[in-house]
Amino acid sequence: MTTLNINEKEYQLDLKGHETLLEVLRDNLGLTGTKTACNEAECGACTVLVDNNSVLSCIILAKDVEGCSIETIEGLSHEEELHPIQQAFLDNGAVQCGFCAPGFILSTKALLDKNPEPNLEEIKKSLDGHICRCGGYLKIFDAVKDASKKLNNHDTKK
Amino acid sequence: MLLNPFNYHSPKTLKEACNLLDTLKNARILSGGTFLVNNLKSLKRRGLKTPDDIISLQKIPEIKGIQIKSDKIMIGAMTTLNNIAQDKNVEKHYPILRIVSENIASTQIRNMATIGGNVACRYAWTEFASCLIALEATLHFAEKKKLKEISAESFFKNNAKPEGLLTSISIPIKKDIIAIYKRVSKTPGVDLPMLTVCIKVSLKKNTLLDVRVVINDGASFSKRDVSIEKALEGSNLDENIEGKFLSNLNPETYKLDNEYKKELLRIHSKYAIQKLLVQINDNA
Ligand SMILES: Cc1cc2nc3c(=O)[nH]c(=O)nc-3n(C[C@@H](O)[C@@H](O)[C@H](O)COP(=O)(O)OP(=O)(O)OC[C@H]3O[C@@H](n4cnc5c(N)ncnc54)[C@H](O)[C@@H]3O)c2cc1C
Ligand code: FES
Ligand code: FES
Repeated sequence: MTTLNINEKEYQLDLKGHETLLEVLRDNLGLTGTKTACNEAECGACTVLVDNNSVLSCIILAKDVEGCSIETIEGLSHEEELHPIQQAFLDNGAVQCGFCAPGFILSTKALLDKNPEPNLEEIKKSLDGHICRCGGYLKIFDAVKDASKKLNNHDTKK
Repeated sequence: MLLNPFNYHSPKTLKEACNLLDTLKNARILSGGTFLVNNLKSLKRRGLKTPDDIISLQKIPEIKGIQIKSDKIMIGAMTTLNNIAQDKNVEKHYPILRIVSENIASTQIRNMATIGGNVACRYAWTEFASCLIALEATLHFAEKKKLKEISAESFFKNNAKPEGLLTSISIPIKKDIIAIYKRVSKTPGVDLPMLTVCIKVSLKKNTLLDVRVVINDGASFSKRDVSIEKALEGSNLDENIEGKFLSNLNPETYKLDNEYKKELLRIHSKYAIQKLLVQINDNA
């Protein structure tokens, strides 16, 4: 049996070894927030966090991340309450069809966890592995800046 | 399923990995998987044979990370490109390694891709080759019964026979080294390089010594340009270094199949040597 820790919950899975993390998330566990698009490491739709680093689940073998902490878009909100980054994406109109959003949001989380106040260049560099077919990049960059403010306020309030 | 079934092996030690590699003759090694997993998908799509055994190196801590050992910087084969880009020792001794790392592919790929995979795949255009040749790096390999080492320069030759598992890369730490890397791609975003130019010199009393100029034309292995190296070796900074570099560059010796690419090499070589001179000035 393979044990995967996803969104702080342990899942026991009977895996042979050739299953990608993307397939396991979507097909075995029904966590369809992680999207599948190019399947060739080009678009970033399948991005998840492994030990707080953004990675592409379409080219990771699920067994390779046994023992790691995996975070998907489903792990961000608390019940009905959106995570501040999700809220910032909504508030700034950064979501059109929304297909790219889970990936962008997770990469934003990885960025802001390490660098709470990134400048535009740093934002662009961190999101360089994502494609938005709707072309909403400028609003996405605005959303990241807004998310940074929201999170920093949140922290000072605490 | 995206991939054909295979036996998945996840050794916990280097020894275990070498034993597996010895018994499973047609096994493929998996590091970051950024090449291999895509490659396995493409083999499946085209109905070609896929390997029966995959040996993942993910769970072997001894070949991950960067250390300073006496006068060398040792980089474990499983160190990711972003680990390299963020490492303090790399920044202190050879920031060029950060520059090479942070321009490869995208953030997610740099979080996964390893320097070992970048080197061991032996693709003509993958990017660590040039700077490892320029910095006189040695590649360390392990097999069941023996350890082997080979210079980066010999490894990236058409007749080299790579065998075994790449465990680490060592680079001698020398004083007064200045190295620059120029990368040319079609688009400014995430894009493969069309050609790269890497220059390393050691500067002693305003004289250029141990010059290495390594050029990759995108179609064949990175190689040293000995004519330029000879012309620059021993030159004083008062001389026309840029002129010497450019008059000894011969684009015909590279696999550049049209005038446009040859001109690109000329222009970017000029930028490269200017960048080196600026850096020498900044350091002074
Ligand atoms: C979208 C995209 C963009 C890219 N852009 C660039 C770029 O701009 N520049 C660039 O240089 N590269 C680029 N790459 C290639 C990138 O995948 C490699 O640079 C990467 O470093 C390979 O490392 P890996 O750990 O993922 O290797 P893997 O895919 O795990 O392995 C690659 C090959 O090397 C073998 N191998 C791996 N490790 C070892 C070892 N320790 N010993 C022996 N054999 C081993 C494997 O069997 C396999 O054949 C890009 C890739 C993608 C998908
Ligand atoms: S689906 Fe993984 S990068 Fe596009
Ligand atoms: S919002 Fe549609 S792909 Fe980005």
